[in-house]
Amino acid sequence: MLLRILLMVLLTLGLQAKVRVVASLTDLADIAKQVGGSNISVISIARGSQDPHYVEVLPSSMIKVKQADIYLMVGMELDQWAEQIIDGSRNRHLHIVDCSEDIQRLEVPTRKVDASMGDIHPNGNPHYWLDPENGKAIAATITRSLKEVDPRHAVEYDQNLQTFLSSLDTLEAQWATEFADLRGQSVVYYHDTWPYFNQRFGLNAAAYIEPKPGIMPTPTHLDHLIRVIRDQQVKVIAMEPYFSRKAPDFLAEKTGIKIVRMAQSVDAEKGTETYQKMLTYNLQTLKDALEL
Amino acid sequence: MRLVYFVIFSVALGVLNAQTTVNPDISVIGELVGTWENGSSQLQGSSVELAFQGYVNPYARVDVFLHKHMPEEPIEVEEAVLSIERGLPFGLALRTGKLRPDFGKINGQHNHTFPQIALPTPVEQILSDEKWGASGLEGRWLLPLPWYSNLSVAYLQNGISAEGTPAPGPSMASRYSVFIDLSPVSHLETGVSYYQVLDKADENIKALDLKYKWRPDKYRALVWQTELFNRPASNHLANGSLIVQPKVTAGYSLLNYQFNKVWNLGAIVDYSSNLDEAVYHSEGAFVGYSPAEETTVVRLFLKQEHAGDDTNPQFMAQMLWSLGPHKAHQF
Repeated sequence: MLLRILLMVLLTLGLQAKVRVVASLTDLADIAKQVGGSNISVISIARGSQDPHYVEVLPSSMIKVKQADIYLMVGMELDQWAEQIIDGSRNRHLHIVDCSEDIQRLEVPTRKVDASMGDIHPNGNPHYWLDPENGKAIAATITRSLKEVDPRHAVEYDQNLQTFLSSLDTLEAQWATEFADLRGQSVVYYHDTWPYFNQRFGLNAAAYIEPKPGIMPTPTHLDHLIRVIRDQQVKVIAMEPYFSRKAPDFLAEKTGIKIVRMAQSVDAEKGTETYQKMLTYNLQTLKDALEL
Repeated sequence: MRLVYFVIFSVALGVLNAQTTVNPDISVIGELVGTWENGSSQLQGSSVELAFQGYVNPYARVDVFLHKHMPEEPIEVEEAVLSIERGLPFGLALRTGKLRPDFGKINGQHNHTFPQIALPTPVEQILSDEKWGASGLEGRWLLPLPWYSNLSVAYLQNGISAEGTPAPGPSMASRYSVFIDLSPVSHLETGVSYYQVLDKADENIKALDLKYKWRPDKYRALVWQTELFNRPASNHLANGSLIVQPKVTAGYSLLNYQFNKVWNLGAIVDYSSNLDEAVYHSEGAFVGYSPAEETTVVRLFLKQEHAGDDTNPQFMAQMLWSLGPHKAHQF
């Protein structure tokens, strides 16, 4: 009798067990949370305010992945550090999902890539989650993997996906009118994080504070930026929260340009707790800074 | 040497025949070191580390590191390891080949990651000037605990060839390590290690290591790494003569501060209770400049050695470059 009760308890616990998801970034984690709902538990390895290119391979991250069912990678060589975390977890049942598999890639190099170009990604710019249309593709990829791992809740996952897609459709319609004035505006960015965002919302990158991706600004480059800002009458520098303000402050002092902090990921700034809020925050931040 | 040719031939054949997608990651790290000691300076020569890394199947990877001190020394296989990381049950992992066993902290670290350029002299005394690596097998067990807790046990064909003595026979090493997140930006790792030559009960080493790291953002980091070794006295025969190894307690403590992303500054102290029949200690300071991550590094290291009544100032400069996709180093 006791054995039967114990078996029933274990079976019930097993049936109620959540799918454990670990994501490289908070963006993937939040989309997974919205699609998975109460059937999954999800954590992110990188913090929202952290540079996703350089995340330290910590043994404690391996422990987080050790018990996971699914690992969500950004792919496109952005989160190469995740491979060592996954290996170190010794989790042989882990389902690894590359969330970039269905996105339209931008800035794919057409010639041989080497270190003289800075930290170039040979498979294209990996910051694809900053386009809401790619957010939809990510959600569809995550839904597929959740259904594979946990087919019992497939209907719920499909419903949650539809809710997520609808919420983005509604927001995109709002953004199209509310932020229409952003189209054609030029911004100096710190790093080449924003091509997908720019393409979707019609913005232009006038220049970058980094002379080449991942390379710190030099005095010659700053001098060049001063000329670009003055010639093109650029009004805003947009930077990720993890970069130093030293170079932007110098440019602001020389040209009077405004500096704003953009959220490159969910939870990078206050008020960016969800994927949708993060995108709205960035649009509103630019609109306010450009005084449109 | 045959193994070296075999590895080079195999990789070359692989590169020629395989599609690009299945090629291993190939990287090269080169260095040029200059030293000034006792009023004379010399360019110690450059050395090159060549790494081939990749998966051989869904469960196992191979990491091969070849090292060449130029121009006088032959190519050495520093490591050629097959690792099964995710194919085994119960949190187990297996490494086999020529490997550096998990013994202490510094033994597993590659020299090009040292901010102080060279291995601390007391560590050379204990682990040999190239540290300890041999052919063997190592099992690692990630204990089923909520925090990272790992037990490694290795069996190696040869033990540590320290202080010019021939390498002893089959040996084992083990290390139990714990890693704790003190906060989202500060971490602590500590470990205890034990080494034993299997057929000589008195030839063993005990070690204790500790590493703390604070990295609040991508521009700043503080690392404190400290390690202590204890080796009891032992006697053994080498080429027909009796060699007496005295009891030694040795260690080092290193503090390294990274600032403005590209600069680092730090200090190191080390100690040996008996190095060439004298108490040895040194203190040193170092500075480094790395304009593009670890692809180019310039380091300067100044130290003052004290052995018995003698003092000896020493200055080292290093230029280091890295080519290709060298994997990130674990904490």
